[in-house]
Amino acid sequence: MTQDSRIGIVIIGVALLLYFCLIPLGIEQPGAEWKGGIGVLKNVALSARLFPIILTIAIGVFGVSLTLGDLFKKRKMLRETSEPRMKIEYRTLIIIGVLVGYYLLLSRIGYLYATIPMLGILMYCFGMRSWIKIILVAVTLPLLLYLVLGKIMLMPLPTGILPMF
Amino acid sequence: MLTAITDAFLSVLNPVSIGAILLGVPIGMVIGAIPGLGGTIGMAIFIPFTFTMPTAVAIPFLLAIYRSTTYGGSVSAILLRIPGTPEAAATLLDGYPLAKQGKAGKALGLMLYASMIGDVLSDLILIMLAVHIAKMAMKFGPAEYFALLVFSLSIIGTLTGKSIIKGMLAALFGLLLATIGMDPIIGVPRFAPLSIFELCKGLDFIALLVGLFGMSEVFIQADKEMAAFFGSTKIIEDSPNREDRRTSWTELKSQLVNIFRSGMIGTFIGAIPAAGGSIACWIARGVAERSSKHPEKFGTGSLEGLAAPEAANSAVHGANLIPLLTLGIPGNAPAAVIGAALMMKGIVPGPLMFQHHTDVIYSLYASLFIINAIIFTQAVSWFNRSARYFVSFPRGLIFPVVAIFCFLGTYLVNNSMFDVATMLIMGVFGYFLRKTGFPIPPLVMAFLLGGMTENRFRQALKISGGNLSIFFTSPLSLFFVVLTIIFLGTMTFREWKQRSKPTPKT
Repeated sequence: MTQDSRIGIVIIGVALLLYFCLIPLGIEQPGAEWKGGIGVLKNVALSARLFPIILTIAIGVFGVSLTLGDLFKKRKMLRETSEPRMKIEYRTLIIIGVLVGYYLLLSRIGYLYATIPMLGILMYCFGMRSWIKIILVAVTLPLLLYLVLGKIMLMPLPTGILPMF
Repeated sequence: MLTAITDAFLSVLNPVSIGAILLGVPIGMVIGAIPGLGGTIGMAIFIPFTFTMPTAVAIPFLLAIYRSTTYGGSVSAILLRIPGTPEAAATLLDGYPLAKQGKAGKALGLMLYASMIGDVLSDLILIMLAVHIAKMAMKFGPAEYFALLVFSLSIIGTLTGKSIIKGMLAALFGLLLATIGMDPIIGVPRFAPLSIFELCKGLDFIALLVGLFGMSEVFIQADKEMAAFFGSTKIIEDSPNREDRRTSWTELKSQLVNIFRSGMIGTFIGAIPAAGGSIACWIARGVAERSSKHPEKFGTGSLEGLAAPEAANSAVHGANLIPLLTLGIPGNAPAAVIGAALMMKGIVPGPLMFQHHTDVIYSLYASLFIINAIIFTQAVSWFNRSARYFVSFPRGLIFPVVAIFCFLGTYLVNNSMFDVATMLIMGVFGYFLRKTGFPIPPLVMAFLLGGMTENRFRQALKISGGNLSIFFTSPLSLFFVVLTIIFLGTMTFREWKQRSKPTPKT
């Protein structure tokens, strides 16, 4: 099974989840007459579920097309072309983790104290190995932004429990 | 009208607006020159900072970034054989050989003139046509508008990316994300549980934009080889011959027909939603090659091969604004950002802008010409000489800074950590979309158009009492429906034929 087929199946699953679960639970249908347990609206244009349902059906149809399109490819083509597997570098996962940590720290300790170490860590993750450059940029840039945005332009930056100057 | 135009120029010719353009142009040039960034990412990073700016400052600032990134991208294509933006890929084919011959100055000069002429041409066409298209659009009812939006979204979904199905899926997901929040007609929450009350106002467009373009690019760059992070590239030296370092008037004159023709191609293609510079440049180059007396010189440093794509991809700038201003449908992702910026200021792009906000329209026109003039002066005065150093910036420095800007910019729009979380989630989502071959622009543009699309659809149904035939009984609506079916059918057939072709044996 190719990558596209797997993605197609996931998309079909998402569409079914939307149709049977997320839309009925996530969107109210006020004003509906409940006939046999199914809400029926007199004026369908008033239904908040109408457009999401249409989109969900369309997503399901395209998901099926994506899956079947791959399955019906000529065997010759499947032998000749090998679709590269989606490869995710560990570095990318680490950087995602670092940025999630940055998000959590931002609201807790504030912009300046969170950004300085995080910028340094990110630069190291992206391959910078000169500690002088890392420290210089990681300290100078957030400070500069803090002064220009926070003190001169008086834009409110994220604050936390640690005091700002 | 002359008074309005004069007033518009005067409104932009104030120190603050000029200052914003003077700041935006070098930002855009540097961003464009750095491979991996581009106009949309540049605008996405800086749009949050325009939130507190007046409209007459914010829009010129963003337009300045947009226009100058294309120029910056072409510079790195010529000097380093690395297109800074996708549109610069065609420029590289003749620009880099010229630079290798020691004629980098000539290449940069001709590129600058071709860009300026292409830009001015499309700006003039925008000014002449926009008001007429807007008048036509005023006659559209909800059914016609909905059919037009579906047609536009089908173009956006099919022309961006390599797979029609994935492009359409991206557009559909964008429309679905736009339904999060309060229902616009009856006011019930949709996909917004009470425990996450921030969802009631829907996903913030800026957070989505910054995440999908800016943050996802950071993750994509993180995937690249470590060596890519050390931008050490050989810098090409110029020839000692003065004639090789500049474009002569004779050379420019010989390219004027080519430049005008390519500018018209770029304008026409740019006016079609989603068909942007990355398509226009190749078509213009192809036409120039077929019309050339020396087609064999293309790819070896031909001035025609350089001027044609440059004029075309610059002409796209003004043309992209035509559907945005007249119909409210962005021509491409950067135009979508301009649309978002206008909406942030309480101005809804569309035909009613020409009635209620003519001052904004004329100011926008005026700023287009002023931006061109400033790009020209900055390119000549310092950028062309120093671009080679920006291109060599280590990525290990650039992308962490981009990430921090993404966080800070998103927070500053609404002072909301929820928006920052949205941005980060969208960044991860965008990363996986790109890894699996799904294009981002259809998702973003569909999200922007989602509210309008649903409103028109439901308004049409209310008028018809729930009868879908309203979309087929109106001649204009039927026209767009048929056009959509023909377009989707043609593109699907072409893709199927492409995929059915046996792979050539090597």
